[in-house]
Amino acid sequence: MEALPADDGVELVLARRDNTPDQFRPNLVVTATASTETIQAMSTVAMATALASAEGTHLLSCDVRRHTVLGDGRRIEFAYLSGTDAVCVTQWVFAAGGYEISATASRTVDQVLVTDTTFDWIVDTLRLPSGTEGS
Amino acid sequence: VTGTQPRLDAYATAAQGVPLEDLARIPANQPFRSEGPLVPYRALNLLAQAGQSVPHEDSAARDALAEADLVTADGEPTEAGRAIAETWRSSTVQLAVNAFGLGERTAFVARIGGGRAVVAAGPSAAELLAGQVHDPEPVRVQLASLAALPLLVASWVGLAPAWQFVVRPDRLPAALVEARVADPTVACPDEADENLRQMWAQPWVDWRVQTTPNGNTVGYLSAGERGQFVSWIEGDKRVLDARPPMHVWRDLIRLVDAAVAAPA
Repeated sequence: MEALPADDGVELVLARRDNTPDQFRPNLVVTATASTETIQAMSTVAMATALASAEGTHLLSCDVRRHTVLGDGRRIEFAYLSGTDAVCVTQWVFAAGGYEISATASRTVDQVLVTDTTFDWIVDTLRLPSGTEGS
Repeated sequence: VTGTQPRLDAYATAAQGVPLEDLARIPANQPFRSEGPLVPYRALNLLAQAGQSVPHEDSAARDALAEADLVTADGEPTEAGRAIAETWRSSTVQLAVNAFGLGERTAFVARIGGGRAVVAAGPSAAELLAGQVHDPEPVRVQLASLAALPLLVASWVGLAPAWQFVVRPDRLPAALVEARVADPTVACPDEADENLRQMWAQPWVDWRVQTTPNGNTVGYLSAGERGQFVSWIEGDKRVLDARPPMHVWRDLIRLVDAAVAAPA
């Protein structure tokens, strides 16, 4: 993985380094947005947004994701077809320290099993934005 | 939506002791959709077996294929018809999903060859539960990439987010489970814990994925908002092993991958 330039409002963008030009580039985008919403509200909005994001998007799962620093969040998964590929998105959402912290991993269906561990490990390392109480 | 609290799943919240949002309305918002035309299964076979043109003798099948733009009025396969026929005929691998519920059955069949698949999808699991299965059932036929197959199956069986609970007992008389699949009024066993009672009260679909020629078979029982259970027979018992949807999704990816990778 390598870090790529991030737009305003985005904390971090990571993408696989050793990709061939014809491959979808697995990537992870991390955002932190000031929010006092509950995790249940964040999760519900994340799933509604996913369903509206691309035609034919299919929500697959939503589970509690425990995090040693960010507390109990959610792990939401959905997929959609893009040309002949199926893009699989895993989104981790946490309500912590007055923020909604979100990490969104995108990969094609053939990349899911080989990238699961890496993305999950990166999510384990997430911390509150610097300067936040408890960070 | 700032400040608006979502509806909670009352049972899951009480059972786990933490607020858990309601997931029950998601499936209705993501019905199985196929781009393909409706064709009788028999007509699809006829198209696959036909050479230059579909024979005149079976005019009903031929008319159905013409209506679906898979053959011309003269019975000659169109470009779409040829692509479907060639893939169907040359396929070396098959993935079949059979689903049972309310005394009816439906199926999703993918014939795989040449790096793509022809999907023939009967009514989805949701349509089965809605009583939308008729006999003989036309199937929706479409060409699909191999990458699309796990998602098409997930959509067809109605895989969706669900809070999941282990049920006790998790080994039940196989005949009882079979009866309950066919008839939702069959009573839950007395020794059932509350999780099993909750799961028992949901709409059930018994579904099984089989791939050939590698011979893999995995069975699941889908229990509405109480999620999926891997299910198999042990003696005269049926095992119901709660399987979170994220794992079922990976099962589907692995099943397709293994079927395609296996030498024909």
